[in-house]
Amino acid sequence: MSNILNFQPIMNTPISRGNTVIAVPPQKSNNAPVRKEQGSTNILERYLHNQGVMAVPQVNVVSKAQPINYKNNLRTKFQNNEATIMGVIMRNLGAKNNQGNQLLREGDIKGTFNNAIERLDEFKNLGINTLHILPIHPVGKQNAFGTAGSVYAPSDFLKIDPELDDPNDPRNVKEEFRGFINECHKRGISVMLDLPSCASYDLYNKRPELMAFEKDGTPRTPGGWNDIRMFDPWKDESKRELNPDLLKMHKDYVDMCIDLGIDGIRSDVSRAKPTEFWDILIKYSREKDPEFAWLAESYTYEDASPQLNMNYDRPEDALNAGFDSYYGQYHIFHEWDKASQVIDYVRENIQMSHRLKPGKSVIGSFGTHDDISIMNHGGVDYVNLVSGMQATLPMLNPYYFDGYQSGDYYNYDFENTKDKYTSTDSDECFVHKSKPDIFNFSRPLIGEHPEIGDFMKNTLNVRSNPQYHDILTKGSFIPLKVDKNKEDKIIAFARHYNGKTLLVVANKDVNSTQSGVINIPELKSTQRLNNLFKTYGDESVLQVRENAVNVELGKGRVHLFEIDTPNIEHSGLEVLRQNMAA
Amino acid sequence: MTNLLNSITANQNLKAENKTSFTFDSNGKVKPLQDKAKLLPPKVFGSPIECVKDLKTDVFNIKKALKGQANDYEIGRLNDLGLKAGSVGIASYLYVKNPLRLNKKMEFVGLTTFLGSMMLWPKVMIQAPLKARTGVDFRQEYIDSQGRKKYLYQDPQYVLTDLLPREELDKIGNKMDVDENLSDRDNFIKQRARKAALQANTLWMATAGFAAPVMSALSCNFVERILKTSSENAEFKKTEADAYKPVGENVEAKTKAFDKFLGELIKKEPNAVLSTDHIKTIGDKFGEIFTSSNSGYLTDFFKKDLQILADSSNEINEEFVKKVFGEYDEDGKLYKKVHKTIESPKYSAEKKIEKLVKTYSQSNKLKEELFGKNASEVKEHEMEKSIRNKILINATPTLKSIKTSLVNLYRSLAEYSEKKTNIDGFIFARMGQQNKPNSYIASKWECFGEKFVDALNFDSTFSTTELKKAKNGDEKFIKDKIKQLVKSDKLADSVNTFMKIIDDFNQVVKKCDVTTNGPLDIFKNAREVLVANKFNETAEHLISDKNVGTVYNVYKKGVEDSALSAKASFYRVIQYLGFEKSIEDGSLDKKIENLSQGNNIDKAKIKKACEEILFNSTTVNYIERFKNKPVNLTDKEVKVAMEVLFDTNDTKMLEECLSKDKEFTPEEKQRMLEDYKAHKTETRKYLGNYDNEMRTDFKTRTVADDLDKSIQHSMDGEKKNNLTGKKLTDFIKEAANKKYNSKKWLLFFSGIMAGLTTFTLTAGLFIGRKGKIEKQAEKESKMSIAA
Repeated sequence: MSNILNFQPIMNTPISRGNTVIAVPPQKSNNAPVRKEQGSTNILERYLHNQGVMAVPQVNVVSKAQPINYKNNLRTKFQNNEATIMGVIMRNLGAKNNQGNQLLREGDIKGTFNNAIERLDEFKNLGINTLHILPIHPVGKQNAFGTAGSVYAPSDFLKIDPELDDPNDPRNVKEEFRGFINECHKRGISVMLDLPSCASYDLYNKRPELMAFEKDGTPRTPGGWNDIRMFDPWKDESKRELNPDLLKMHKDYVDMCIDLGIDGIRSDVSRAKPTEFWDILIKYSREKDPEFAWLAESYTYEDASPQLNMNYDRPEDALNAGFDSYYGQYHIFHEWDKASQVIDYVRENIQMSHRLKPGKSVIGSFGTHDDISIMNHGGVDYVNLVSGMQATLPMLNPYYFDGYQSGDYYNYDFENTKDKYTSTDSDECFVHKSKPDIFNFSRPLIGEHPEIGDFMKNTLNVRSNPQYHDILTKGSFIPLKVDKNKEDKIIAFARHYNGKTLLVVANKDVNSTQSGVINIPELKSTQRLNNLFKTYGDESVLQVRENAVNVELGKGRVHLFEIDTPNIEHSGLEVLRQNMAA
Repeated sequence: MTNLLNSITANQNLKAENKTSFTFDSNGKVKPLQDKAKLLPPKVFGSPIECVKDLKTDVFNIKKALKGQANDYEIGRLNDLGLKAGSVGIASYLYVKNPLRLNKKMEFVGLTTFLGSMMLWPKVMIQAPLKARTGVDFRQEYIDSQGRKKYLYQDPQYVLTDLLPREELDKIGNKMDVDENLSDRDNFIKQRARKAALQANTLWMATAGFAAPVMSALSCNFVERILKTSSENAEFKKTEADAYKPVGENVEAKTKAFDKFLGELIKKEPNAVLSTDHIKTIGDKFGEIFTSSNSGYLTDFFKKDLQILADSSNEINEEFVKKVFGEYDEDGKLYKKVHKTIESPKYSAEKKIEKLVKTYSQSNKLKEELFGKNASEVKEHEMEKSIRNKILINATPTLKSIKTSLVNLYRSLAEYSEKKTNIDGFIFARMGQQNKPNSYIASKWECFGEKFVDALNFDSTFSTTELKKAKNGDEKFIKDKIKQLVKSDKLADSVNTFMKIIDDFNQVVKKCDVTTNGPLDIFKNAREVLVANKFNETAEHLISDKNVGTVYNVYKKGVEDSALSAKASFYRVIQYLGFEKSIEDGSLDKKIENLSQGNNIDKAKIKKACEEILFNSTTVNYIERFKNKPVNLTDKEVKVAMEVLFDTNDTKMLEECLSKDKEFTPEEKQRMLEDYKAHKTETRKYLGNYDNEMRTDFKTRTVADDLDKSIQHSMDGEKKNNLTGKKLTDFIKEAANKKYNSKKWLLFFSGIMAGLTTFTLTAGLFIGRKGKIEKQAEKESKMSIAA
C-alpha cells in the first residue's frame, strides 16, 4: 500500500494574513494507524501512543531496521578518493507525481524514507557508494520560504521531519529513517547527513540562547536568507570561548547520527562556525566512530565574507579542524574560460594537501543543490564532460546531485506562484530558478536524458575497474602541454601509478571543436588509443605521433586512454602527487 | 561544563594523532590559520616601484575589461586610472598648446597638486586626527590573498578587522574607551572601528569635493611663484640656444629643391633665356623664403633686380648688332633701318629685338646660312623665329648661364631666412609680439610693476577701500596720493626705491637688447651676398644706411620701441613726481616763462596738458594728447610742453632724492641719472624732432608703409605699448587690481579652506563616539558580567 497524499484544500483553522488565507500544515492521512510524534507532552499520552505503536500489526512495512554486516568506512573512502556521492532531497526522492503536475497534490505520492529505498538500486547501479541526504528535520513554519519550508530551516535539530514518515508504516519516522539507512548499507552505500548551519525562525524563538544578535538586539540573519537565523558559536569571541549550549546541541546531533547509523556529516556553510568548534565536534564524533566522515561546504579562501553576517570562508581551516573533504570550486568549472585554469586549480588543491594532514580531498562539486542545473551550461555534452572530469581528476570524490543522471533542468512551472495548499506561513511557491526545489513538496528530480546516466555509469565503472582504480584514485597528476590550441580549451593530463598511465583529453568548449598537439614524452607512434569512455556527441579525431598526439576534439568530448609510458614521471614534466593517507 | 571537560578529554585522547606540524594552541585545539591577506604599513606616499606595479596591474585590468572579464574591483581601479589618465591627457594637451614654459609647467603642477590634494586631504585632515584620537586608521591598506591592494574599510560589509593585530585592537579599544572587562570586547571594538571608519569615509566624501580643488588652487598659487623665475630663466636660455641653432640642413634641403626646380626649367628649354615669366616664377621662389622670415616685401625688389639683370646684361646696341649681323650686312644698309630704334633709350629690349627680327629677315645670305638649300621654301614666320632665337642666344643671358649664381644666392638668402626665423622667436620671446604678447620683458615688467605699486605703499598703508579705489582707476585718488607723496618727507625714500626698481628693470632690458650685437649680423651678411651678385635693390631694402624703411631698421626699431615703452611706465612716475615738485616749488612757472620767449603762453593750459599726458597717455598717443583732447595746443605750445616734459637738464627732483640715499654708490647714482636722461632723449626722439616738423603719424608709422604686411605686426607699437608702456593711471590701476584680486581670492579661498578645515576637524571629533546603541550594548554587557 502506498502512502498516497490526501491534502485538504483549507485546513481546520485558516490563518488570516491580510487578504491571504494560508493553510495550516497538511495532516496525516486518516488511514494512518496511529499518530506519532505529534508534539504530545503528556507522559500518559505518550505512553498510550507507544503502546499503540507496539500494538499495530507489522503489515505493509517496506523495510525494517535489521542489523546487517556493515562497517562504516566513509572517512577512508574520502581519504582514498573512493567516495562517489549522490546528493538527494528526501522530500522528493521517492515521490511520485502521478497527476502530472509538478507540485504534489492529492493522488500524488510524497517522498518518505520508505519509498526512497526504491531509488537505491538505481544509484548503486550508477556506481554511487555514498548518499548526501539534505536535512531531514522538522521544518520551521514561520517566515518560511515556500509552501513546505526550506529543508535548511530546521525547527528542531534532534528530530526527524514527520513529513517524511510513511503513514502506512507503524514505525515512527526515526525508525523508518534507520531502516532507510540500513537499506543503504546493505547496498554498500554510505549515508552522509546534511547538518544545517542555521536555525528556523521557530527555533530562534524557542532557543534564543543559541542565537546570534546584533548590538541593537535583532537576530542575525545571513544575507539573502530571511527564513533562517544565525547561531552564535561564541560565548566570548575575544577569548575564543565557544557557546556551550550550541556545542551541546551539536554533540547531541552527532550522537543522534551515530545512533541512527549515519556514516558522516556534510556540514552546511561550515564557515558559520569557527575552527575551534569543528575541532571539538569532529573529534567528539571520531571518539565514537573513528570512521565518521565530515564534508565541509567550503569553497575557497576569502579574506572577508562577501555575505552579510556570515564569516569568511577558509577551506584550509576547515580541513585542519578535522573535515575530511571540502566542496571546492568545481561549481565554477563552466566559468573557467581556459583549460589551464582547470589545471591550475588542481595544482592548487594538491599543493594545499601537502600543508594538511594526509588524506584530505575535495568533492566534484560541479553541480550541487546550490547551483543551477549544469544542463544549462551546455546540455548533455557538457554534463558528460563533467562526468569524465569527475572520474579522472585527482584528489577528487565524484559528486552528483539527484537529477544529474537524467539531465533535469530543475525548472518548475509553479515557480513563485501562489498556492493555497501550504504547510508554512507562506503561500508562495518559492524556488531558486533552475535549482532543485528545497522549499515545496514537488516532483522527483528526473530529467529527459537517461543517456547521461549511461555515460556517468560508464565513467564510474572505469573508475572502479580494478585495472584503473588505483591510477585514478591514487595516481600522480601530470599536466600535459598542449600546442597549437590558441584558445586554450583542451584539457590534457596524465594519471600515473605503478608504471601504468592513463591519458585524459577533453575539449572544454561545448560549442566548437578544438584542435591541438598534446605533448606526451615517451609516447610511441605505434601507441594505439582505445577510448575507455563511451562515445557521445561529435566525433573526435586523434593521430598518434612520436611523443605527441594530434587531436581534433568534438564539442565537449572527454576521452580516457591507457598509454604505455612507464617512465613518464621521469620525463621532465611537472608531477603532482596528492598527500594521500598511508 | 561537562561538555568542556568532555572536549578536553577528547582532545587529550587525540593528541597523538594531532602531533603534526599544524597550528594548535596549548590545549591542543586547532586554531584558525594565519590570514593570507596582509596589512600594509602606513605611509604618506607610495614608492615608485609600487606605482609602476599598480600601473602594470591597471594595464592588465584594461585588457580584461575590454574582453568583458573584469570584476568589480578591477573596474573600480580603472575608474581611478581613468581619472589619472584623463587628467594627464588634458594636462598634456594644454602643455602642447601653451606657448609659455611656465604655463606648460603649471598644467602639470595643477594636475599634481590636484591629485596630491585628493590624496593629502583625507590623510591630513581626517586620517591623522582620527588615528591619533581613536587609533582607527580608516585609510589602512592591505594586500588581499589575490595580491590586490585595497582599503581595509572600503566596504563596510566586507571589512577584514580580523587582520588587525592584537595590540592594535587593544589600542583602538583603549583610545575609544571600551571597558576592558567587557564581554566580547574584541567584537565590540571591531564594530566601533568599522563604524568610525564608515563615518570618516562619509566625511571624506562630503568634504573632498570642495577641499581638493581649493587646496589645489592655493598650492598652485604658491608653486607658481617659485616656478616663475626658474621658468623665465630657462625660457630665456632656451630661446638663446634656438637663435643660434644650426640651419645648414634646412638650407641645403631648400637649395636642393630650388636647384631641381631650375634644372627642370632648363630641361624643358635648354636655351631658354631669362624671360618675364622666369622672373616672376623665380622671384616667387625667392619670395617664399623671404615671406617665411617676415621679409616678404623684399620679393618685389628681388624681381626688380632680376629684371635689371635681364635688361642690363642684354643691352642691344650698335656693337651688338654688328657682332651678330655684321657679315650679313656688309654695306650697313640694314643697320641703318634699325639704327634709330637701337640707339633710342625709349625702346625696350623686346621692341629692339622685334625691329631687328623684321629687318634682318630680309637678308638672303642670313636665310641661306640658317636654312641652306631649303632657304627658298622657308616661310616668313619660320625665318623670323630663327632670327629671334639667334638674337636671344647672343643677347639675353640664358637660364643655364646664370643657374649657378642663382642657386648660390638662393642658398645665402635661405640661410638668412632660416636664421631670421630663429632670431624672430628669440626676440619675440624677449620683447613680445603682437600675437604672442607674453614675453620675458613683459613678465618682468609685470613683476617689477607689482614691486613698484608696493613701493607706492598701496598695500601696507592703504586700506582695502583705498586699494579698491586704485584698482578702479580713480584718477583723482591716484593723483592725490602722488601729490601727497611729493609733499611728504618720504619722497626721497620712495623715489630711491623706485629708482632701484627701475635700475634693476633696465638691467633686464639691456639683457634683452639684441640690436647692438650678434644676431642681427645676418642682415649685413645677406646684404654682402646680394651686392656681390648685383642684387642691389634687394640689398638696399634689406639693410642700408641710406634707406630708413629697411627690414633691418624696422626690426631694430620694433625692439627699441618695446624697450622704451617698457621703461616708460616706470620713468613716467619719476617724471610726474618731478613735474608736481616743480609746480610746488614754482620752478615750472619760471621755466614756461623762459620757454615762451616773449610769446603769450597760457601756463595753466601747458600744465594741464602735461599732467594729462603724464597721466593718461601711452607713448604712442602723446601727440594726439597734445593736439587734441583734452587741451588743444598750438604748435608753439606743443614745443613748450615737450620741453617741460623731456628737458634732459630738468632732473632736479631726482638729483635731490638720489643725493639723500646712502645705499647707492656714486657710480650707481650717476648711472641712474644718465639712464633717466637717456630715456627722456629717446622718448623725444621717438616722438619726432619737434624743432623741425612734428610727426603726427605715430600710429601708422610711415617708416613701415611700404613694407609687407607680414612684418607690420612688429611695428604695431600701440598694442605692445599697451602691454608694457601703459599710461600711469592704467599702470597703477592694473597693478593695484592684481594686488586686490590676489588679496581677495587668496582671502576667499583661504576662507573656504579655513572653513572646511574647521568643519572637518570638528566633525572628526564626533567620529567614533559612542552612540545610543553602543552605550546600551556596553551597559547590557556589563550587567551580564555582574549577574
